[in-house]
Amino acid sequence: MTKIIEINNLDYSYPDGTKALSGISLDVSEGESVGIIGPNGAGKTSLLLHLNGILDGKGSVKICGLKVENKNLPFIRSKVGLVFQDPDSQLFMPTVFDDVSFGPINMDMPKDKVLSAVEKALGEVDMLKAKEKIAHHLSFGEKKRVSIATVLSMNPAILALDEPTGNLDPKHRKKLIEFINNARLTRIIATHDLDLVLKVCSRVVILDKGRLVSQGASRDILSNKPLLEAHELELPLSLPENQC
Amino acid sequence: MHHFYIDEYSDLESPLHRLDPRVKIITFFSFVLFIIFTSPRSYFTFFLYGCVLCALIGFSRIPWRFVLAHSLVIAPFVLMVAVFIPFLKKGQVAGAYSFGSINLTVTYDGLIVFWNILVKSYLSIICVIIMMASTKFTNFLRALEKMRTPKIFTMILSFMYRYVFVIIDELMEMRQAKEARSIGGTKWFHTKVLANMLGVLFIRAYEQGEAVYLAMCARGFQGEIKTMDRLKISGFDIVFSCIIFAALISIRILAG
Repeated sequence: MTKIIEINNLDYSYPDGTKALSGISLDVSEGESVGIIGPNGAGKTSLLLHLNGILDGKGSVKICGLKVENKNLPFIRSKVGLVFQDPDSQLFMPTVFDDVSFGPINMDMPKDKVLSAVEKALGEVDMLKAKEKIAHHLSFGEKKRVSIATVLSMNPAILALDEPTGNLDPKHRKKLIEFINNARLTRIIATHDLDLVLKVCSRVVILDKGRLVSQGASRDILSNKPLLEAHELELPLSLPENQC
Repeated sequence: MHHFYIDEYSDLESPLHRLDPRVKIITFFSFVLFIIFTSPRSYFTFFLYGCVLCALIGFSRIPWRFVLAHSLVIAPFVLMVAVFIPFLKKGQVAGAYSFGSINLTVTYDGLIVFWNILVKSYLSIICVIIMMASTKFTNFLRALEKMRTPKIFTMILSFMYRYVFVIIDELMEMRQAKEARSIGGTKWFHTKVLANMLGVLFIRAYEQGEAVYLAMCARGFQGEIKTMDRLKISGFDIVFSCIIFAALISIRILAG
């Protein structure tokens, strides 16, 4: 399988000097679904922000074989669909249509293609009926779904989701899991929701204090109680071992 | 949480709601000009303008209560400006009052100017209310953009419209959190707490702004916000504005 994300020895410190990532090396193959887990402040979001050059640390990040640097950013940003944790940050245009069409228009797609991309993306997350709605009038679950549509419309190769199930009710969470499972993209998901990881990711990476401390098949890592507890995590509730 | 929306009734179904926002802006702006350039003594003309506006409100199906309540919002401002005019304008005296050593005289000319300001501002604000209440704010912005309003201006309005409710929500949540822990305390203490809350709100708004900028960059933003033009002027729009213009012109000709 071709490698779609290649991260090599990535270091990043925030402007105030706090070390966010140190010596991260990680490869992700095309079509793979990878979960990034770890305690609060482990560096999960910072790692995602490096995938399309929002943050620029030391070391190298390559997407589809291209180095993440200024001259490649337009291409890379069209390939990496990054969905932020807070839908109020993700949805900044006045209407759902404007938001979902924002990416495609920036990619200079012709008008008819923008329209069809918006329809398709909203259809995939089952939000077509909200096309003309104002973002503030949507429920939290709807906002999350529209947030995903805003990057799907750009036809990305990689879907990077930051805490996708945070604050979602069980029904919408279930729908989102179905959606992630059915998406034929490379998926990289930073989350605390270990049950979600168990359901949708084939591989798991544990970050702690900015370091990549362990990685492996989801079932192996997520059933390793001592390892999880050493990094302030716990066994997913849906594991058979964890059920009374 | 429940908010008051500027375009609360913009989802109603009516001929007025279906109008292209550009046509609506031009028509209502012209209506305001007609009102402004009417002589203050043409009482019948004002009455007819009022009738046209009432007919438009009826057509638009916007509740009368909403229009009336919102038309009163500007009353204090107009009154504040206009209330002294009858006393200051020189001319034939209509009445004189004295309070101790203060003598006030009201002149006929002054009263006419007072009436002029009141009636024109009231009719104009009704025009604006009908236009804004029957148009989705987003469409209104799109129309402004199409009519060559500077992009920076429409973008500021658009972000404001998107985030003002988010910020109000945050303020309401903070207030609830404060109420939940407020037992006693002096008035001065609560005022200080409010000042702190506003400070926090500023910081949060700033942080939200940064997060939004990152989200914009992640979706290919390169310094210029591009939006798609989806407005279309139909035959109905042209017919509507012709009818309004014909009505306004005939009112001017017939009623002077």
